[in-house]
Amino acid sequence: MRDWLTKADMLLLLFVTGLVVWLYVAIWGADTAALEVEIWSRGERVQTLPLAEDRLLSVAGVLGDSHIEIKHAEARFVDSPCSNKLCVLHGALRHAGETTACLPNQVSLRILGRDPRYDAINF
Amino acid sequence: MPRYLHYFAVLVVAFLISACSRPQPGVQEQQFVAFGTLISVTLYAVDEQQAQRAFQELEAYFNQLHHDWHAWEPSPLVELNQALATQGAAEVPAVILPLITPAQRLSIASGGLFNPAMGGLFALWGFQSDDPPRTPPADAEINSLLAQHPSMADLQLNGTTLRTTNPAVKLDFGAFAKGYAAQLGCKRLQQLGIDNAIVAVAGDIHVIGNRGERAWRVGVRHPRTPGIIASTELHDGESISTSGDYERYFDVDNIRYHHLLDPRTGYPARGAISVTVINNDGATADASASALFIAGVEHWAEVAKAMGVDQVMLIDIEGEAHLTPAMAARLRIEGDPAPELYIQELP
Repeated sequence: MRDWLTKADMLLLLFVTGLVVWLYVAIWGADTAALEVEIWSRGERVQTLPLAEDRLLSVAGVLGDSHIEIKHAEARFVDSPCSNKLCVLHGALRHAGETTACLPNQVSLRILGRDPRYDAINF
Repeated sequence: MPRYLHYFAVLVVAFLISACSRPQPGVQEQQFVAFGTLISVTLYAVDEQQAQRAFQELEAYFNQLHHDWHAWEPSPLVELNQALATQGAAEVPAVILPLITPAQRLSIASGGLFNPAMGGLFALWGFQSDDPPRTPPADAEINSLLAQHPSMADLQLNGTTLRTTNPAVKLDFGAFAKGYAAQLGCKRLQQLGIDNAIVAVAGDIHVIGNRGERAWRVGVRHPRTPGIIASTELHDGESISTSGDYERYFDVDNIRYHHLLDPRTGYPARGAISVTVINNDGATADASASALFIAGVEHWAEVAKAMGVDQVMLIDIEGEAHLTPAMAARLRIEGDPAPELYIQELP
């Protein structure tokens, strides 16, 4: 054993193992920081923002401005110029692939990620 | 340590790094509004130019279908309804003809719970309108319509001529057009040379092919709380449809009046809050989701059997989930807290 596995070999093996673990986490791991929210209005993609940065924004739709909040790695409609407020009631989106819309105002949100948990939402 | 072992270690690292390399996504997505709802289309393994062409074509196609099948704005369907009501017979426009026979077959199989001849009832409730209604109609109006029993069995199709002796028949394909359209959309994409796609017309989704090495994944919206209640993978040629009381409704004195009207009572059906069906036919999935919602907790299984669907999940008013064994086998429950599950064999 001592003959063919020196200290340097051990270090190399340790390095290789560490590298593989790091690569696995970096490339395949659930990486919330990499999530983005895509905002659509009237059939156009208007903005793509990181979910990690909190902010409030207004997006113009066909009826007026929809107010969208990004906070604690979640995105939600906080207000919209529609009558039934289904978009606000839908609550926060956090997983890649989740989507919600204010149909009357034609504004929608979708969470983007590398390998989305859902390709579409049945709602 | 023999020198070759160093080379071997380098090779192992190189191999592992290459195995970790990020796959080319090849995913193209688009959203647009048609059928009064949000449509999302995702394509796999197509280049951007081909995708953009497909998106434009699909949006125009859906807008055309929406116009052709529109039940209250000036449209070929509205003209057909007028001709049936006034003359008792009409030539069916080519864009509507393919809907008649499946609608009739599904309606009869559902025992009339899926009843696209009851457009008059949707109109009475104000659901044939772009603005949400505010009050229920008068009982007398509902009763007078129900007394005329408009049904799909009142229609006789001969070639391209449709006849009826019941002037109360007013066609509205709202309860299965979106499921049918999602599947037609995928067919149109195949004609454009696209083999891997998911077309989501809100509560109605159809898929072709897959998303690379994995199947398409779909989340089913929780009918009451934000988020997802369950998810599943869809395979080539499958459709999923969900009908829920949260889609179109209005509240009066804390009572929810939703758009899933029971043709036997003329009022919104009670007992279920959402029904999800998976089937290889988009129209069948959509029509049966509506019919099973109306059938409710007591009778959904027998109606499912009659309509030929065996993958069903019904969420009742208590939030409990009733599933067929075939649905339970493929659905991953994600709701938090998870609903109580009841597995029910079809009769």
